[in-house]
Amino acid sequence: MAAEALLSAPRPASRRGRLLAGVFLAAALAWISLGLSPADAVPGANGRGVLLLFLEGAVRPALTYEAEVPSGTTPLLLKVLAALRDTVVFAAAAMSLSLVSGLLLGFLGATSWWADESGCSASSFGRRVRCTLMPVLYTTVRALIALMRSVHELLWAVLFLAAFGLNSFSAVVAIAIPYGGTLAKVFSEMIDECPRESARSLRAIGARSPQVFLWGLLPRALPDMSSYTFYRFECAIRSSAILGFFGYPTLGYYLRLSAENVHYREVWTYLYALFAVVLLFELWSSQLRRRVVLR
Amino acid sequence: MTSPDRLERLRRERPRSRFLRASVALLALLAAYAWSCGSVDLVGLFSDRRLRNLRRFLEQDVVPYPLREGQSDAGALGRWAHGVLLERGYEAALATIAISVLAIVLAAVLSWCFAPLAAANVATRRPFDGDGRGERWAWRALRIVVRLAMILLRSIPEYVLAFLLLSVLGPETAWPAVLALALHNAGILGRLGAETIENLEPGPLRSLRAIGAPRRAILMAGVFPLALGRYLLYFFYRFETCVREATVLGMLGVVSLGYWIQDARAKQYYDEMLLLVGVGVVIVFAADLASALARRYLRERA
Amino acid sequence: MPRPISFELRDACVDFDGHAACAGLDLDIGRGEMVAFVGPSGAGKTTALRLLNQTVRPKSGIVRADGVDLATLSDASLRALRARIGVIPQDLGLVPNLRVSQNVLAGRLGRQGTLRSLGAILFPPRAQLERVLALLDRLGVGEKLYHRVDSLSGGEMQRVAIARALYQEAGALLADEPLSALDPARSRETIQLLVTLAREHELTLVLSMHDIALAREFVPRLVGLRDGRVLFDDRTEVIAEERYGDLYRLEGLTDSAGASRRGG
Repeated sequence: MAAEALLSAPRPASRRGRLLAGVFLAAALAWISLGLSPADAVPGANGRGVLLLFLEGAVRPALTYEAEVPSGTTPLLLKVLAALRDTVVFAAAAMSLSLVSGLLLGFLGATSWWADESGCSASSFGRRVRCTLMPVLYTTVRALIALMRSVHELLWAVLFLAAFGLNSFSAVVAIAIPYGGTLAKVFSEMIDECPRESARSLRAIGARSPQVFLWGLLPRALPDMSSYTFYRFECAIRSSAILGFFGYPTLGYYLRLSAENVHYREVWTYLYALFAVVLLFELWSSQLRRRVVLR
Repeated sequence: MTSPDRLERLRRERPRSRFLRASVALLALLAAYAWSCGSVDLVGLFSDRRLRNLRRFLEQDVVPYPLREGQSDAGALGRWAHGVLLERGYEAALATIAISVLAIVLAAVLSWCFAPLAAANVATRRPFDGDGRGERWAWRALRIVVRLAMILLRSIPEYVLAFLLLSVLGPETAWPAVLALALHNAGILGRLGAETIENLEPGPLRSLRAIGAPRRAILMAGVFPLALGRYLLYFFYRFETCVREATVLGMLGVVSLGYWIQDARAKQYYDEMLLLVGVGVVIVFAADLASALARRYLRERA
Repeated sequence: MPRPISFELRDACVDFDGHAACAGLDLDIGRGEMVAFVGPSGAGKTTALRLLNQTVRPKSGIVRADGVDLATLSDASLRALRARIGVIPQDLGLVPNLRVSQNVLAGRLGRQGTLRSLGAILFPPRAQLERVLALLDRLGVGEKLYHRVDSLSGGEMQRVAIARALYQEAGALLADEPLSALDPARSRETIQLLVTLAREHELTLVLSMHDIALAREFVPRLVGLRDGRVLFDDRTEVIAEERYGDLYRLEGLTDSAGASRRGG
């Protein structure tokens, strides 16, 4: 019976168990090396005051400025909306760049469209060229992707700040580079892991590699690729918000100002604005999943 | 009906998703708006002042100190790099890894507390019994509340959370970074865990329930072991992200690599800054490698 | 109508899961002939089929199509040849998220450059669409022209795969276990359809089938394969009963391969 099968430990479970043990061991080591103690996680007297103010702000977010402001200043809610708009705009611009680079690099970083099953026996010039050139290109592209992914967008932003000064386009590129790399990596994995029957049958009726990719592999990977891109857009909005901490006109800039002035209720206004955007994306994506995928 | 009419009719009646089309159109419009509305200033990038800035940056600021001073041998370069690394690089790199490991494990533990509460096949009156008809609204409300909490945690960027925690806990310990990462990722892993649980095969769990096992027992002996495999994959993916974020959180003041990066930047030692960013790249590569190996270990059947 | 293709196998030898046991296959299939490979699983039916369009390369021996040795073809010529051979694999090889029309139009990819194929499949000219519709009507699934393939039943998908192969305007049709996913009534219909269509379009038809009864009923020539070797090859009427027994006997014919070979 199924319950018995469940209770007799299958072999994969022991691997998982070992992995889990390893993970917990690593955590213990980390704990020790950082010299942490639970007592330090409890806020001191000052901290408690701050925490209280902060939690209060969660329940009563500000709808107007907490302190006196010079007349003619845009109302708080309008400022929030404008900052939100800029945040989303930066993210959208960055995602459009990342999508293009992600598709291109993902295509070059996948193997399933050129490493076909008939192997690389050097029976023709075309195949020999393909078999020597492609692996080199493939490895280069994968290295490029890894590099792109490994530097956080904030670090790129800060580098560009030093090189170009405060400029909105450099902020967009700062987000686009690691996001493009991540999209490329995930796209290439999806392309390589999707079922290959359609690709194989198209090749069998004479299609060339780009056609096999376009019509045999890409359509099958496309649903997963789209949903991942959508998810990444949501992440990009968060990244764009944080860039504000360094002077860019996104949510983070105003959030930081309010926090430094200890206007925690205003801070929560900004946080709730972000929450609203994320919630919107959640609802949108669950609607997409329900209407499009399940037929 | 003649052929052209029939083609038209078939075309008109074809199944299509208006929602999908509208979504794609909306996103495309958003991208177009983003580039054209003027917030993104492409042209200003190439003004004279900026280009001069760039030039100076590339030719002087970024060049390592020994090279600038005219010592162009590998030895001097090596000693300089070694010096920076010894003083700050290694220790900060280790701290970064430690922070990310601890944070992701904490996040996982937290998420396991909440994920079952958000799963439609567990947090319901009759678990695993299929369509959940006739269930009380309390269960549904619980699931929604838990999901909302997870979304809230996930929507606050780690950087912001750490920034706020620093005012509460102070910069002496690594707790602000660890907690910020842990809370944010708890939201993400909780949601992924709930999905994994919901996608489990109901069969074996249903039979456990049929033999009268209480809910808690089913969770421990049934749900968790079954969901663990998939969950661990997500776990390692998030670990990779954690390492990147932990690097950067240091810029707020917690001692990780980011702290020294920010320090170098404040002093305008861009050559050191780049070196430290390079160290960051190395640990990210190491973490990615470890994660990939762990995932492969998981996937292979013994 | 394009001319039907003839095939030749001369001592063609394929590696079966690394076994050196290589039985050379000798076969001649003339233009417009209809042949079915029959035999137990693991007999080599699918492999033999795949040899005909070089999806599988022989370790030794020669495979010819229209008199040309396939191994000597350049990539471009091989593609051109494959474009003339319609294939219906066992898993149908359709693209589930594309529409039926797009799947069928993909049949002519072998004859078009990449850019042209983008236009041809995404924005097909009316004339081509009408051809596709006519083919689908002939197969009884015309109304599904714009439906997504994954919303069709198994039998309907089968027919779309056949339509794609026909749209190729091929000279030959290779079908691997075309009846395996169908119920008995559908199976009869389908094999009848295949044979009729092959005759109509003047195609060389090569099938692999495990259903001996249907093969005997509809296909004029049968080739019995067992463990990669040809046991009999003749017109259906003249094959003796015992030969079928030989084909499926569990013990008996010696071979150095184990019983656990997969695939055909």
